[in-house]
Amino acid sequence: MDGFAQYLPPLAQGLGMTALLVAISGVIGCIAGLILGLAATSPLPPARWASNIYTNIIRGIPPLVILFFMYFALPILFPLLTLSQTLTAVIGLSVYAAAYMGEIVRGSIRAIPVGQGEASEALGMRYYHKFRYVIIPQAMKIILPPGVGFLISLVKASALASVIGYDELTEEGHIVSTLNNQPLNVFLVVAVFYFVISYPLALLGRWYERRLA
Amino acid sequence: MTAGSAATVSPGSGAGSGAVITVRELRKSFGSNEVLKGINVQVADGEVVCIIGPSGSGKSTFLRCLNRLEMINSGTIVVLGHDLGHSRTDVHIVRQKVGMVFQQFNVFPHLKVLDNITLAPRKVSKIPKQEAHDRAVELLRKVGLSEKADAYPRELSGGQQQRVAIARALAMRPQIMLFDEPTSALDPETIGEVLSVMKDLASEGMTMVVVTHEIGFAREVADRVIFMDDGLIVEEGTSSEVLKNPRNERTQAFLRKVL
Repeated sequence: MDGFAQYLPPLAQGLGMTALLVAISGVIGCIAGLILGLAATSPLPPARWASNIYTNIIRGIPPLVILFFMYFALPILFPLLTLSQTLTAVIGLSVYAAAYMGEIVRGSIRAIPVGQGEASEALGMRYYHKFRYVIIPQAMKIILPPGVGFLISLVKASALASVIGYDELTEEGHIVSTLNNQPLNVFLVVAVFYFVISYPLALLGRWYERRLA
Repeated sequence: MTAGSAATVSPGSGAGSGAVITVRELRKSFGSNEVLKGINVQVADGEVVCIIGPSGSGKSTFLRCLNRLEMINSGTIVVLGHDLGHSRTDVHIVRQKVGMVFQQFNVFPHLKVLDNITLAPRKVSKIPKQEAHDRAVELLRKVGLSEKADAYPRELSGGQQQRVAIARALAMRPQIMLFDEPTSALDPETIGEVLSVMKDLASEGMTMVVVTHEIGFAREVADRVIFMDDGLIVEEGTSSEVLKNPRNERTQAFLRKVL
């Protein structure tokens, strides 16, 4: 274990890179997912179509292919869209997360009884008030368990960013273990580090769920 | 078609004195199923109108057309001077003046009783928090639920929830109240408390349109009773005319079954 002090810094750096990537793409994914979910339940047909097309296309593509496509293929089509590894990773995972969060939001809104919306409308509420104060607060309780579940799986999906050279935790672990030839120790630490990100997410979800109950 | 000729409404044509609702040749279909086949109704200011009839007769659909929860296919609906059939009419304005109470209560389960009542006045009417609060407290007293202000709807019985729903609608200070089978989902022992709140409201002069199966309530409170069957108004008149001496045989058959 004497190499511990040597290989811990790069792994800690990988942990930071992974946390950063998940945090940004998670937030963007949640916001975009909310918009997609609202669009999917919109009274306006074009909004529903756009949301459905996006969701179905993105959900049908492996996130790995999304990253490859954005990093290697997109610059061929549009040379101006040559993005850095970090930007590609963030956007790629956001695009992926938005589709799944959108479906979770859509399903949760659908689960709210129609009468709740009708009661809001009968009181004179417009779309914004109806969703802001009646529909979304109730939908949040339904969104939360699968939403947190998806964010935890996003933590793990972030390992895919290594394929385009984003130096996240898995990539750092791979590099360090080939250098010091201690895969057992290295990947044990890597596993613990992933747990350190995903378990607080689960706890946060539980806490918020209890608060809403 | 008669519907075509009735499509234009001159401002003064809505009944002689103080009609707050004027409906002409209203037709409404769900797909190929026509559920309202030409309804003509006027409701005067302060009048209590009860609509009775078998399920599937279109009475709930008719009521829901009055605040445009359902869009009509043809005909005219003028509520408080607003033509609901006109696409440029801002229905939100009309809805603020027309309260509605639903069969399934539809109270907001995530909000405390008091917040259920203050939400729309605060957000829609932009009334100050304290004023909305005072109004809600007053309304809770009126419906006999003062001690439930901080309860959540799930802690209340059906009858209590429905009284909250009535208070919530009244908080917008509506000029008209629509009731869509307000006691049909209630336990028999809680029906009375809801009906008594409605009776108080009627005696205060509120204009009310009530779809109901409570014949006793209609007999006691209604200025006018409308019997609907198969998308049409079959018979209409004072409660004693329609309920005691129905002339139409379908009305007679219906009343024999429910009384």
